[in-house]
Amino acid sequence: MNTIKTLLTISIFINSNALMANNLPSGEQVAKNINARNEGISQSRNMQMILTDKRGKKRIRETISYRKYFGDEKRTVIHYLTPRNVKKTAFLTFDYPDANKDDDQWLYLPAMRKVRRISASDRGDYFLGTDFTYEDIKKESKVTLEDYTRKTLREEALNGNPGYVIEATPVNSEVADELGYGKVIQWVDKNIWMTRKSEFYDVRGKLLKTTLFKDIKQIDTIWTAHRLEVDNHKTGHKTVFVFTDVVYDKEVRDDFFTQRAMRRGL
Amino acid sequence: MIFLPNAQCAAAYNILSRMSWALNRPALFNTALLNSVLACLILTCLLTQSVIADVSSETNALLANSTLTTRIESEWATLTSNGDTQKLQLMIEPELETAVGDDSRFTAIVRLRMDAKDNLSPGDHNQAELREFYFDTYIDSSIVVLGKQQVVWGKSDGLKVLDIVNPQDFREFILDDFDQSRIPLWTANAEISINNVTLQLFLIPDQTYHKFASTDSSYELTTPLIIPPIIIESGPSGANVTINSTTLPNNTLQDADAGFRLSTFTHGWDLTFNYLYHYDDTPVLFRAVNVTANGININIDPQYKRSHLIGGTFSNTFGDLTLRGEIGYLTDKYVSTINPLDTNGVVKTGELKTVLGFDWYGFTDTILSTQIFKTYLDNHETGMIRDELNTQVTLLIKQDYMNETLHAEILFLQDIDYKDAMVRPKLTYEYSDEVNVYVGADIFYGNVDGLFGQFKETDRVVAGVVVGF
Repeated sequence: MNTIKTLLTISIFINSNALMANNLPSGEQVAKNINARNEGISQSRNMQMILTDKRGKKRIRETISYRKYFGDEKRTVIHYLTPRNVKKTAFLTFDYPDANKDDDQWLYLPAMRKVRRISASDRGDYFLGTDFTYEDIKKESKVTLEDYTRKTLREEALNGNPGYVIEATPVNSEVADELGYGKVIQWVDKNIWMTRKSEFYDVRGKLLKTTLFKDIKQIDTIWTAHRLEVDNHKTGHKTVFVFTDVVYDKEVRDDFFTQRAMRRGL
Repeated sequence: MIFLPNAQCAAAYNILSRMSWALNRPALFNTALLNSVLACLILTCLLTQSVIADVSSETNALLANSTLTTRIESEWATLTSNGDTQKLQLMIEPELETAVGDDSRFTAIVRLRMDAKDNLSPGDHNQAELREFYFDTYIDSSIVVLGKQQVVWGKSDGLKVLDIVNPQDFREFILDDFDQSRIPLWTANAEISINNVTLQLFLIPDQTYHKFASTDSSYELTTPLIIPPIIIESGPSGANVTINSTTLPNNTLQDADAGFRLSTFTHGWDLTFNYLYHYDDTPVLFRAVNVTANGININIDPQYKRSHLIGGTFSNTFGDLTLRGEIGYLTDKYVSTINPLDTNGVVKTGELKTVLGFDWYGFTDTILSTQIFKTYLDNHETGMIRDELNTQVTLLIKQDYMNETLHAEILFLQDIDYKDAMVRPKLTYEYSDEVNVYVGADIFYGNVDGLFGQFKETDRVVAGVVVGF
């Protein structure tokens, strides 16, 4: 009888674990939920970039950025306001829904007074001295479905926020080289479908950097991270983005996303 | 604009008036005087902005909407040939921006330049200049910019094809950043968006032209490609050479430059079509030869001549590669000739200029950039001081380190036909948000008659500090 009870208990335990595993949403589904999260048609915000090197020396940049959807096409422009040596630098990107189409990017350098067309293919290059890559900046709280295969590792709360831990692996070595990542582990809040933490591993599998999405608050019903922190474990460099005056769906002029507006500045 | 008590203005003017002005020439209105007065006002505003205690509410509002930033650059250059200091310069550039409502603002940039050495602008140690002073505003979907400003065209680096709307100060040849050497002009400028096309229209009633390095300065032009041999050599033996003063266009409207640019972005291509009706910024050196019983008299009569510029630009990216280019055709280009039988010493021709550039972003934090410039004279005659076809190439290698706090670059500019070149290595370190330091060199070599080779005795090492706040 005891043997039967033991077998029954083991059987129930195994089945319940299997059931739990089956109840976990797939990695792809989590990614789709992340991307389905509303982020408004347009957004404007101030962004402070705090760049700290391994010796603790800080560089601080103040910027203002605008983002707007034109149909499925997302356009973003960032204007640097301070310090003086980067003031009036502007970065414009057109992010197309077609994954096979490279984005278009322009950089305005005030010392040249010219808008330069720049290649968008090096998505893994770091953005203007930060620890975010151009791809990170572009996707921000969203993810690219085509670049990774994903699996849900487990359900796990982070700082009291229930969620799932997702492992994303580049679809091939070419994409891995392009992005600069061999693997990404994400902690995704299952109530608001926002990533709260990411660990990025290089193509050799070594932990490269950790990103934390903090101070997440609702602005006009849209969940918004107001602080992003990246620790680059390889270089000891750290980048913090602090967002203020975040406004959604206020009128943002279409012509803000033009080379003409980059030259004029704000 | 903030107006200040007369006493303050007068005091500032007295100080500034002792300095020599780096301004070019006036047209119908006295540009130099206007610049002086405005520079005086702005400098005074800038100097007193922080100490005004009793200001009206309107002034307070303007101050609240104003930002003052300043760039200070100190640069030292020493000649490698003899170790002499060529340049010991301090440049202070305050910039004031005042927002007027959400869509308008005033911008004023003043430049004070002091050089302890006397090699670049002999007799002109200290310069104060109103660099830019303009009001810009959105009107519906158009941007209107009125005032002294720079209009920058083109896609090329280091050398120019279409970037000729504003004249250039060659005080330091082409070693200065173009942003610093370009001479801002009083301009009415509008950019109008019509669907996916932007039309830029401008009128420039400011007759200011290139400013060349003065005689006996470090970068005095000697190349026969620009200065006809008859002037360099003071004419043939026994000839009396007289150079008249330059005839300047002086009618504000009739002699104004005007132009437009159509630009669009379509199917991944940035495209522009450009047109400029202007005075060529380099005077034409007309020559008259009189043979008398007393000998040969050669009279050189410099005149500015009108020209049409028609051209366009393009750029696109293909993976890691950015392709960019410019093409421009100048009508009525006058090129000097040494043909003694030529009646006026110049040949009128058209000039086609092109540049094709490739920027490669394939390596992390690195840009490899190369450009090929071609210039073609469509009415070439024997004796002209320039070849029918000329080719120049550039190569730029630029790499960033330490989260873009350290930048290393080297720029080569080579004239294929005249076999001369310029090489410019430079290392820049961003010590802090406010302070950048750099060290570099400007090396010339090759044919002394070439554009670059003429300065082969002027190789130098430079070091500088830039402070911005």
